[in-house]
Amino acid sequence: MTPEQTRILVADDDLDIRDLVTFKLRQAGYTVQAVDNGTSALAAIEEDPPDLAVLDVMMPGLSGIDVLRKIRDAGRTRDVRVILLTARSRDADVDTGFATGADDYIIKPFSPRELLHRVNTTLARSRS
Amino acid sequence: VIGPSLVVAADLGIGLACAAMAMLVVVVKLVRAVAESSRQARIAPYRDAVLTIAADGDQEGTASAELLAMPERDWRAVREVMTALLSKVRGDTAVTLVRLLDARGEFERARSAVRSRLALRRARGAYLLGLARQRQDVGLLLPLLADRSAEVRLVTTRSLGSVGDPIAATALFKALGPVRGQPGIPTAVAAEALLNLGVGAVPAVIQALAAEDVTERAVATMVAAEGALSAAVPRLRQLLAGDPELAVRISAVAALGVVGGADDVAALAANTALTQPTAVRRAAARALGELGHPDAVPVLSELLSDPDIRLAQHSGDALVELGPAGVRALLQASAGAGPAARVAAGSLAIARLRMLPQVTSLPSQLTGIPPQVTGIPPQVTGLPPRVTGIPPQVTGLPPRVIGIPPQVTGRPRVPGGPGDPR
Repeated sequence: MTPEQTRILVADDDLDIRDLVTFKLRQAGYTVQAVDNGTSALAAIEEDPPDLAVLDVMMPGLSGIDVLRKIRDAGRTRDVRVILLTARSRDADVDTGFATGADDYIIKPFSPRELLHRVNTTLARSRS
Repeated sequence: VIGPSLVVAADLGIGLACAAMAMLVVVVKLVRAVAESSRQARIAPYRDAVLTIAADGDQEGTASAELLAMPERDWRAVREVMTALLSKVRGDTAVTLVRLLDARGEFERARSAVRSRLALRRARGAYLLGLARQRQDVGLLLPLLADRSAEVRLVTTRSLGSVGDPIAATALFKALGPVRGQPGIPTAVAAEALLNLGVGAVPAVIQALAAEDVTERAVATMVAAEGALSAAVPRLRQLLAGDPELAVRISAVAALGVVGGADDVAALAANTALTQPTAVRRAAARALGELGHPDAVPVLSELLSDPDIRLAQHSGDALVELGPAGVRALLQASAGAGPAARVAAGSLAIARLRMLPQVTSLPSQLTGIPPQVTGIPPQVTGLPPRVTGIPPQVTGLPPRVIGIPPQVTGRPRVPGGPGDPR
């Protein structure tokens, strides 16, 4: 699968972060859809599951954790890879993220370059 | 006596005032929308250049050159985006953004702004210098910790944390006290800033543990715990043994749970005694769990039947934290009867739901909970039975109490099935 064929959903209520992550991933050749809240993220994932979702944890409506829990519970979306991108850096928050089924957890402030590496690695792991 | 005409006039007056207020709200919203639209229009032509730099993709420097050459009027809108991004990214991206803001003279302006008569300008200047993360600016920031504006003091605290120069540690502790009759900087913000100063701040933290001011001592214990400062242990023991302030003792208990060792089990256990204040007893039970030493098993097992149910629950959870020895004690207690059995079963159940390895990795022979006993099929819970299963034989609780609620499973209960209270 080429990067162009790989579809990534980015959900973040912060316009700057959403634009930056989308820009970086598109620059790498991925097909990216961006939404600004958890409810839209869940709807987009349920409608047409992407290969990977980058979810902010604190969003209006459903949080990233809520979205993750719901997609892990549904058969059709269970295998969607999820990276949580959040300012919540306490160990307990990271534990909750992974216990809920996140494939990776990135803490803000973040390095866009590192984010791309983590996306590539997560996708490669899912293909293998 | 109020005449009818006066009542009508009053009603009319209130009605007009409400209408005027509503109009004002609409006008303010319109003005804001227009201003935001105009700001976005100024940013739009340069947005790709900003994102190219922020995404670490400006290898040829064309985007930087574009932003350096843009007119000042548009730059004012664009710099807001850049400073907002700078607070959310790190690494090479942050370095590039700082260089560009510096080249446009933003940090020089910020250095002047911290001396402004306007609090808003001083706060903005302090904020930008924090983003620049240059140690040379600490000298400009430190006096702002005594600023007459609480907002400026708050922003300065965060900025000093961002810069990360340990020279600021002592001043941050002193800023916890009242300034010009106003409360000092918030303790949580100060603690976070102090933690960002790194190991260079350790001597100041140790010194603050012995400070006269109670807030300084409390914050120092928080920092010692969060920063896992083992050098602070002797002083923390002294605070636990004899500090006159309850808040400091509670913080010291929690801190020793993080940085203490086997030698601290006895002191922490002594603080769970009935003669101690409730808050200290609870903190000590949690700290014994955090410490994780098996010597704490007997005292925590004893506390499972404490009349303070919260303390009993903390003790059960702490036993889980102790690993196999604590879990064995819980299993033993849960097989009995009475409040201790219920508390022990509850802690084990929570540990299973959290999929803690010290519980889930145990063989069913040890836990005494064969999967077929749970009666909760995996397709209902989405979790394997050995994780969710809490058989009534073990807990002594009726099935409706142990039923896993839908908010945990994310699925509706099966009518008449496990967990259905009917």
